[in-house]
Amino acid sequence: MSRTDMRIFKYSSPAMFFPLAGKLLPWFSALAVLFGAIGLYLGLFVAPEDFQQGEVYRIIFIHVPAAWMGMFIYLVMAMYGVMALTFNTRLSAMMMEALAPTGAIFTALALWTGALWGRPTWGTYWAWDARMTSTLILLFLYIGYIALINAIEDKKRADKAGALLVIVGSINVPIIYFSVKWWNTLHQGLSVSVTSSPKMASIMLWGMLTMAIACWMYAIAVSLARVRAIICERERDRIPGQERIPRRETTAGNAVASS
Amino acid sequence: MNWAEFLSMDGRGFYVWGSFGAFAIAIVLEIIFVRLRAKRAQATIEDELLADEARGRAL
Amino acid sequence: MSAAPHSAHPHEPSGFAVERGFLVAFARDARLAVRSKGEVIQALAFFVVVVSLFPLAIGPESALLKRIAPGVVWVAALLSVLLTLPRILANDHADGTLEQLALSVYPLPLIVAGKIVAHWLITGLPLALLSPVLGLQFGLESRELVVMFASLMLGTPVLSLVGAIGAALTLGVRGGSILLALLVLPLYIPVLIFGAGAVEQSMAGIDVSANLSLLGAILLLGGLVVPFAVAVAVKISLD
Repeated sequence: MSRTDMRIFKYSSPAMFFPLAGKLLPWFSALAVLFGAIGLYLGLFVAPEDFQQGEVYRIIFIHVPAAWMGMFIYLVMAMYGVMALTFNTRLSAMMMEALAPTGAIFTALALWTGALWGRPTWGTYWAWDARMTSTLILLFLYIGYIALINAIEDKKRADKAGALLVIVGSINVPIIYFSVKWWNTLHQGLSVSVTSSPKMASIMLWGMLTMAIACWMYAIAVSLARVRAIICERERDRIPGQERIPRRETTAGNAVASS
Repeated sequence: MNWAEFLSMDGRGFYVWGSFGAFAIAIVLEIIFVRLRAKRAQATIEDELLADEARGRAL
Repeated sequence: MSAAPHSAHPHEPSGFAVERGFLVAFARDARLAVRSKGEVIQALAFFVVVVSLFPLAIGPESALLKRIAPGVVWVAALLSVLLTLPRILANDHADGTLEQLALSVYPLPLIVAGKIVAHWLITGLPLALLSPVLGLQFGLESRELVVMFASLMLGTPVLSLVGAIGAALTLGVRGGSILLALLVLPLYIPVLIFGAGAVEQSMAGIDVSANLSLLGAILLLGGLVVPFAVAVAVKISLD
């Protein structure tokens, strides 16, 4: 292996990744704040009122990014799951575990904001349309994963079981979405057709994109923080001889160093 | 900038700010919980790390 | 997993074929199920009871009952299969047989497939056979009953297959059955939609062959791929 390979693989060890995550954390936090500020400014102040929906359409500036992130994070988790099962790396499984709560929260926010958008726009808080129903099912998938890894006490087994579950779930997601869309068209005659998004002025698109990037940076930052906590929690299961987290990298170590 | 208009959002302020507010609350809560978890997790291994360091110094 | 031993004499049939693993597992599970007939009948009884709850809850108005019949029967079938899922693997896991099977010369996916087919024969198949009777109670016509039967025949094996993944992942886990339901029910949703949807389509007079073909395709694909996933899940749970 070349020296670059060696350096990259070095970080796949949790103990080595711990300080790296700590160093990356403030950068992603700053990026999240930056993009968030720009996105909110665009969405709340710059973007004009919508022709049909008035001011309330501005909810899409968080509804759509939240829905995108919910979906995206699940796919990233599936990718880590594949890595965890094929390469048997602990850190991949830990990243999966770290991402799940954030993904679930974004998905729940997508549902919540979707409901608050739906009520004034189409008269109902909840409509069983393809998108909202698929998002709801995605939330179930997240909850199932979190429940599974918390129920299994053996961490190694929990990691692999969770990985398989997310992989199976992610294969199912397109099937679920397709089936829900079909189900929706089957019952079209009976229910009101909802989810017509406002015509996208390009400024609106930019606003959504910026907020999406902000959410993405935020998700990375929070996951890095959470995975650091998970690495510490797993220290107890560490095999003797594996590298320890350098103490000066922990907050207590930093406090002592600066005293 | 007419703040009263901005806050009311065409009378739909409840929905708009209910959404943005939930978003903000979720983020704040998540950050708080993660930091709490990290602090607690690091505390549990502090003793081990201290012992390590002491051993390292003694060597 | 080892290679099948070759016979020394070229004209004799070889020692055994690893494909027998399927038959071995299937026969064993089927025999065990026959011995515990009570469990099988309980699942059927549960099916009937749940379906009967809906008219009791909603009222006997026949037009309404006919409208909800496909969904009610399908959800009840789904829940009945869900309740019986642990028996695919849990009993063998508890007495150590599963570990033996995993270490045997037979490929685990084949063993698992045999177990799943046996499971379907004693859960999904009886449910499908009973469903026309329940459909009659809800006022469905004969053509619709046929579609209901067909949809359940095609769909319940998929329920056994997908459910086996959940059963394998949750082996020996505390809080098992609720957790199993939580994991498996979202994955059941496409089959539910296409299955109940087929019956609804037949009630609306639309041709159902596309829908049933889709169910068949899902069954085919699932039958080929899922046993491998279940085998992986079993290995994960046994380690």
